Amino acid sequence: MLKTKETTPAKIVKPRALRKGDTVGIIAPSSTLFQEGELEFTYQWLQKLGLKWKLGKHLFERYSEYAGSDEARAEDLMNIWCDPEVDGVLPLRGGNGAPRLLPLIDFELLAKSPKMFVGYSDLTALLTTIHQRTGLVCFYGPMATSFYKTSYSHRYWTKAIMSNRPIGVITDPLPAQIWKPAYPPPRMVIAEGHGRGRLIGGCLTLIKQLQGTPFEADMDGKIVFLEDVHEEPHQIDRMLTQLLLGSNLKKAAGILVGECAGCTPGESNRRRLSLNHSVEAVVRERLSNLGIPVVYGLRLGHGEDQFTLPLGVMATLEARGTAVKFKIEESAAH
Amino acid sequence: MGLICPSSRPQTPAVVARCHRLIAEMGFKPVVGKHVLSSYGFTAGTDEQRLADLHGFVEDDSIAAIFCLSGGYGALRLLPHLDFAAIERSRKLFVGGDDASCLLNAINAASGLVCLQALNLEQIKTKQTYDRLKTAVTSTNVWAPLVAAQSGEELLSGKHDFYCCVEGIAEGKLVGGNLTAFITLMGTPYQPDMNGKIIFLEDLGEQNGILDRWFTTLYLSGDLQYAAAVVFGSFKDCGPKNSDTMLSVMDLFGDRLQYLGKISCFGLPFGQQDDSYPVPIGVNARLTAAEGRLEFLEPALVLKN
Repeated sequence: MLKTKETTPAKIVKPRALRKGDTVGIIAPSSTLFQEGELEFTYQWLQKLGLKWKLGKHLFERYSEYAGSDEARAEDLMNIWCDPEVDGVLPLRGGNGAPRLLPLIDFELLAKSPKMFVGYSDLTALLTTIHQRTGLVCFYGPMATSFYKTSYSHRYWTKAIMSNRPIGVITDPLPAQIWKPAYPPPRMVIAEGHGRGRLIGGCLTLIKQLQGTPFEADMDGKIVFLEDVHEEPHQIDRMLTQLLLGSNLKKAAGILVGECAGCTPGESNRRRLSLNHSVEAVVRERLSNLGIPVVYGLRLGHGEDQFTLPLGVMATLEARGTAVKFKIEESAAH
Repeated sequence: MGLICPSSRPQTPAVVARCHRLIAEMGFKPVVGKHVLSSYGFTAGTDEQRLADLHGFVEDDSIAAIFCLSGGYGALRLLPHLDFAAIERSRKLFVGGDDASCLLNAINAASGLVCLQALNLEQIKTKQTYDRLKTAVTSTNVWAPLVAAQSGEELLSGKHDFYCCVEGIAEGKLVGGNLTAFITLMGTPYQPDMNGKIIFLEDLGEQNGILDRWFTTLYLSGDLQYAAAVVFGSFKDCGPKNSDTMLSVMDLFGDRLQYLGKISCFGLPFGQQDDSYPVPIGVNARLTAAEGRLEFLEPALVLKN
């Protein structure tokens, strides 16, 4: 097996934006649905966008918590991606299992037909690796059973994958008509500064899982976004500490820590420790002294509202006082 | 004996008092680190406080060995601040488990010192584990082999479910410990060389799917391929948790061990159970997978000269 470390892709390849009449290929590289009927909602919402769909052969197979064997899931990915009728690839959902596929993927073959590819959570492993091996701009955002969960998520999703204009300045969801908004506030300044670079990142668990392997994320000079779900604060500390010890996270141009839904102390279903810091305390303590702007709370990742981020695209992050400006300045698709 | 908390704090002062007593009962003189009952977030005091206890004992000539009182999380944070040269010069024995696995493997990798992966002192709650720890820290002989339960009452108790994944006999130095803590060394300057070694792994209270993530890291990194063998201890309170479809770690790890043809077996009596044996990191050993037998080929300790 290779021991060489991947570096930034030498050139960035942008996919063609999806448009009415296009076909998306639905696959399950991670986990599958327990109720196949959930896809009915997906079909309705795809129809509203004028998109057609094609399903992977092994979509509803099962092996442990995965959607079939590694070989079956990799076969679906390769077949759907290389299918000339398919214009974009849309995983069903995350869960677990995508990292197991990495040695089974022919990245050179994927590079021959650059396509719109969007997903999050466990899909981080495929997004960052395909991006780094082929230069393709891959999108961190909702997938087949989640792009219609809120109007905010849906708006940014269509803006990212069905338009060739820059996504631009990211705004927050409109404050809901409730008296006690959910923690965290969307843009807490952890460290001030101005940073500019290409976007890289994803689910912290996955970025950590691939550290020390040939599929490790290169964060040097980039705007890095990290988020997670249902992790105890000490697990977030463990993962960030491993990244700070071993990766080039320290050399990032800026860091966005997402909402991290379900990560308040004792809220996860993971092993708990009796005396907990919050994620906020962990983020402040681990990331505030790197000399780069760090912002916590943006609605990226596992929360209800989720904007979509294109890997490899230039972005700027400005954090001054309590003011934060995050702008995806370059177009992500052609 | 110096008692430290490199990770989280013991639940109560009574835990520290009991561990103090245990060490005294063994016939040693216990010295408790100043900060073991400090608390800062989820750790037993700040990094500086935990380091001060550790380094204090390393530099104290009256201390023969350093025991960890409890696990949890926090040892990883200490690594960039450790004085590995002083630890190497001191030639003291480090004993601990759970989160301390990252500390012990980093020390072994940096200094070559044999460290004992064992229960943390607060977990010593049976005569068996008490006796086994006492023997482990005093014996300058080659230890008796660890053998998976395959007969008699042990077989009936069902405590150790032995499973040979890939048959074969392999020799190499031991490296590993708690899977979660060990994997946090990946891609850091403290990652041990696993080439030609026998990797031993266990965990506590974690979901099988998460354990599969960390095992996948070892697989993807290539380290598994170049290891001599892999041997698994207990996975106490691990399981599918809130998923009904999740397979066992034997299934999830086994598929890739078989693909690689890597000599391996599950169910040896080490880990975090009330009858677990310590395992010496850095000692040469021989694994006979079909028999679930791990023989130690050299003593873990030498008489002080």
